[in-house]
Amino acid sequence: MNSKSWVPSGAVLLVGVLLLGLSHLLWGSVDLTPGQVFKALTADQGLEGTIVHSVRLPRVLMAMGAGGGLALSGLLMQTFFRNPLAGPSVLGVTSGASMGVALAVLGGHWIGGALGFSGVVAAAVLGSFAVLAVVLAVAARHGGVVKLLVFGLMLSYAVGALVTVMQASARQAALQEFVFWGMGTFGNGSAQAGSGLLLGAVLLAGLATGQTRSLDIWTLGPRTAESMGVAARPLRWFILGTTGLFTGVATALCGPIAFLGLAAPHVVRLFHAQRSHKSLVPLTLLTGSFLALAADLAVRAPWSDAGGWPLNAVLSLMGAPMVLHVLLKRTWRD
Amino acid sequence: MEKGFVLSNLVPGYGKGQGLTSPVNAVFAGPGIHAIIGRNGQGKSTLIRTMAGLQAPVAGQVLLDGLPIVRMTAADRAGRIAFVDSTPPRGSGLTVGEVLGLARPDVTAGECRAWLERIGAPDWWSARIAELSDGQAQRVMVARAALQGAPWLVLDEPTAFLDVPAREDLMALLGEMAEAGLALLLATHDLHLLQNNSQVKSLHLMNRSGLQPLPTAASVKDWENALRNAPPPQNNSQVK
Repeated sequence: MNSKSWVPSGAVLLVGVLLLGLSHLLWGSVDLTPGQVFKALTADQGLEGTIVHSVRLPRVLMAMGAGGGLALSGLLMQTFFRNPLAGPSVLGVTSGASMGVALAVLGGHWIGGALGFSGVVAAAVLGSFAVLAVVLAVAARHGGVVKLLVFGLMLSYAVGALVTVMQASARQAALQEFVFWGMGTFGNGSAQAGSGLLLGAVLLAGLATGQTRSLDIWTLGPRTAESMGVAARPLRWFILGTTGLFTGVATALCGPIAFLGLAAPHVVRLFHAQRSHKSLVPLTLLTGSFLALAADLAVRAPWSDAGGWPLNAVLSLMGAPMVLHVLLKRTWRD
Repeated sequence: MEKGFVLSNLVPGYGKGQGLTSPVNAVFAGPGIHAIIGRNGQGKSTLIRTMAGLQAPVAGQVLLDGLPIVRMTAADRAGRIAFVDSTPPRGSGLTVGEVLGLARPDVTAGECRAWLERIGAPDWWSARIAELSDGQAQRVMVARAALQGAPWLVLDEPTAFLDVPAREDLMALLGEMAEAGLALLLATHDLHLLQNNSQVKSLHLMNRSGLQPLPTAASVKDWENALRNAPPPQNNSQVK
């Protein structure tokens, strides 16, 4: 029923994502030509093959996947809580995942050695589920935009304090690993992990696309939605299951990524007029990937230090003004 | 099987109920406007939401066309009852056209545009609903409810936040819908709009002893006296 379509904006964004991705592949400590990259992509041979396949491509896939999926998680949370400032990092979901990772990495020696990678991922997912379940339960009983945000913030503080306690009694090596993980990076995974995350983000977009009518109806208010046949409970399970799982896995792989989930849907709203989820879902996915790749370019920029700027520092510098803009520009009734 | 709403020994509310001295027993059937009046804090909204199946009763049951409302799925209910809340949506970024298009999965753009004409707003299609005035948005929400295609329309004080002309417009629209054969259940404080209204088929006063039928042909003065003589609301009542 909509005359305007999201497809033109989506096509522009997709081109932007591909160009950013390509620039990541071309450029770095060793600059490659497009021809070399193409050859390396089709046949994994020589130094170029190694650089592209085991360093740059995994990083691009990881950024696209984490960025797109966290952005979608942010959109779904903003819609479900009917709160423009909701997002995985704001509501404490990322902190919950961090708590899981801290238990697995720092507490590893209490529970008989490190749990291994899948253990870390499982712990992160459990952590994000736990926090999201608490937030959803609180939101179901006490509405209110500000109340929920402050609740999420306090939950983050409390979980952060527990993590600090664990850090204080952790071994040196584990502590170092945890601190670096906490700065966030798209550069710590294999190509399999990266493509898995990207697949997960696309799957999340597919699932959300299946729910666009319910999500649109939900914006009219919980009572009106219920009367139109959209019950709160299944939607709550959908949000918990999808965004909790994705945030947990992404946090385990890339660290606690700040602001991306919160800011990306607002960037979409800034440049695209349509508010139907039919448009918002695909555009948020692409915008999240775009912003993640752009932030990672700054991380890898030649002017940054040898190790690169911490990803979360770059994202916070990009995200904080965005949140202030939304806060100052938008008026809403609690 | 009895058509329409049958309330049997119904105690709406939260926890132990709202201090009703006796449960509610009433029947609402047939097209036209069925109005419920009552002072603030007497549980009109709670009763209305319970009847619309949006809230479980403390005790007793609501039957619609012989079926208990709490057993229906949300989708089944949506086909039987459309609901208009007291406040129009403020947090939604959707346009009027998009909101109307959500009414039913198979609703057509033509139907939606026809309803916009009917509420006197053919040029609102691309306006965001949150940017309309409360009165305008509430008319869109009534059109949306009508497009849902349910035989019953339940409205919880739809005129509560509207100015006088907007109230009269909305009431006139509801009257037309009743004339066209819809059954409307309406909680309201607008006694003037119910007076000399041929579409008002029943009028009940909600108070602590339940629902008390009042004559629809009476004057606002009589209804106001009935409101004044009703026992005062409970202090611990949780809803308006």
